[in-house]
Amino acid sequence: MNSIAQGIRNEGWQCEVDLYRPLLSFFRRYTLAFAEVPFFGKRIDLVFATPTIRRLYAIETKLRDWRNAFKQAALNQLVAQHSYVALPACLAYRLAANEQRLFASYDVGLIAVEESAKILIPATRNGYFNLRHYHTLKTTLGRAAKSNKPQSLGVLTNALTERSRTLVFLQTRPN
Amino acid sequence: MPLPNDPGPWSFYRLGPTKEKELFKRRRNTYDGVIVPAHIASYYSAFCAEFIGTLQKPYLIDPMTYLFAGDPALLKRFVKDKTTGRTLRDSGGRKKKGDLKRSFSKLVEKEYGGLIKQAIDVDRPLTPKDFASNAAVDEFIGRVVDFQTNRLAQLPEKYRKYEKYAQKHGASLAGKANPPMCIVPPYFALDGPMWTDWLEVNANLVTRTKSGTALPVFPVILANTRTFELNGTAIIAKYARAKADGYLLWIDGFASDQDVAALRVVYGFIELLSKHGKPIILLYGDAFSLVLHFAGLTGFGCGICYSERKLSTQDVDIEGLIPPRYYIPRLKKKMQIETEAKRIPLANHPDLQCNCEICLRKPDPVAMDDTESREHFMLARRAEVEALRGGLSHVQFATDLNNAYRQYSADPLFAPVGHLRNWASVLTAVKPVG
Repeated sequence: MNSIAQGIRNEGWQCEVDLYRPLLSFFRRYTLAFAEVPFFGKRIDLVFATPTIRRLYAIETKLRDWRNAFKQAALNQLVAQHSYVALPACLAYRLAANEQRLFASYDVGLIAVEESAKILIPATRNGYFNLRHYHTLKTTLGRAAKSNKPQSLGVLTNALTERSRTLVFLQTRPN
Repeated sequence: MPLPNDPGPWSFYRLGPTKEKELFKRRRNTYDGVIVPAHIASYYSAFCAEFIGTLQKPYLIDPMTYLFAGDPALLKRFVKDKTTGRTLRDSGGRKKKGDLKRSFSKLVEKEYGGLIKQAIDVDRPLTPKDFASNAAVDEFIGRVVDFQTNRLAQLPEKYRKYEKYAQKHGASLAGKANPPMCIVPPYFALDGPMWTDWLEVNANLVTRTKSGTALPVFPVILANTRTFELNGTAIIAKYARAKADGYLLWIDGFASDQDVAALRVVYGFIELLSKHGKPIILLYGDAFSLVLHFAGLTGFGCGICYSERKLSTQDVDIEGLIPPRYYIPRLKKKMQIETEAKRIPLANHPDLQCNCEICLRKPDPVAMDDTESREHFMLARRAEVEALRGGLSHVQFATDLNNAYRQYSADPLFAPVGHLRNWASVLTAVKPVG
């Protein structure tokens, strides 16, 4: 555990939002990106969507407590076709080696984040996708995309610093 | 009604949303008493009087006075946009506060008055100095005692018309008072730099309340685990001198998923307090209260499947509904029905299946509505209480908790379950009372 903590420090991660930039870059082809997406009292860290919001990719980020992120990612399968856990590379590579069966059995994907992001275990679809939940979320995201201008990552960072947790429509390409 | 007759642990439910009324009545045999917050007893007095009158169970009224010594903003309601109904926010994104919440406004204006009204009128919190005048304190206590003794003790006027029917059956509605099982003196939190001053005030309030009522007096001891850890002995000694007839305990912000050290502080405090031989009732408690029974806890309260923990600095104006949750007795935790229950099929885990009446009818929690999930909670909690009354030993209880932990700790979807191991650790490490 100490070596992981050391690895996270060495990689320069201080908070989960630090992982967002490589993830935004990795998923940039999905056009729409949202942060702090409300879902039954919780917040999905990042949701990427195709322009019609037909296909959703949910990402849970964590620096250390991957089990918590894993559970949330499994729950996110109720609304997103593909659900991932994104972790600092030093931790993600260890999990890819030791916990591959767990990730595969729950169809949760794993992403390693360093300067860029890389999928180590691909997420797969399963039977838990819930159309009613998906349509609710699709409406929320559609409304946010229509009525807001995409914000830079800095806006989200500032909002989180001020403990304001509201849905943010993000730019997938930095200015 | 006097104190419950059944052996401990007594379970109390706190009166909340009115739609719970039917649940309280239908599942009357699953709990031992009711806790009614003073602002609800005051604002919905006719409803509460009818509810308590027909229920005929032990009850007490929580005076809620701690709120008047906190930030006055906590008592204020959020301002809504009249057209959209949405809460307005300031430029920093924070929710805007308006006037005093109506239920508290009525409680202050009509019931408490005096020194509380003086502080509210100038928008400041009460301080220990406000209690310097014994005359003012006695007037305040008189109002609080009178409110608790009489407010719900009689059926409302409108029920008097049924007197002739009652008499036909040899009963009478008139004159049959239904007083609370105890009087709760005004109380304030024992946290912060002025905790010793508040301790003096609270103890004085207990002594004076005792001289003003013939009913048993149960003060609330409200403090956080840190205060209990550092000053528990002094607090107990002070309250013992006030000669309380029992205790209501509120461990501020305490959650049973905290570390073992915090759990042991709470266990140890209750163990010490129980040496005085008086009933101890936890005002907000979850299934860890079952563990605390072995330390000498007599009873515990909560809402029906909610409000099992509470912070005294929490806003009284709570927005949004509580999502329906399903209680898993073996794991001593709840899962949200719309998300967790839909993703984690309990049918694959026969050991987690419940045999209550509701679960036999609807084995899949996903099919349950809010009322059914709460009803299941009441039945499951009653079964847990009955197990203790039936002689479940602390050793067996710890073994059951440890087994459940070992079985589910590796599965992230059931996480967190660390509380099971911690509770078992408390049970095995501390020698039970009696």
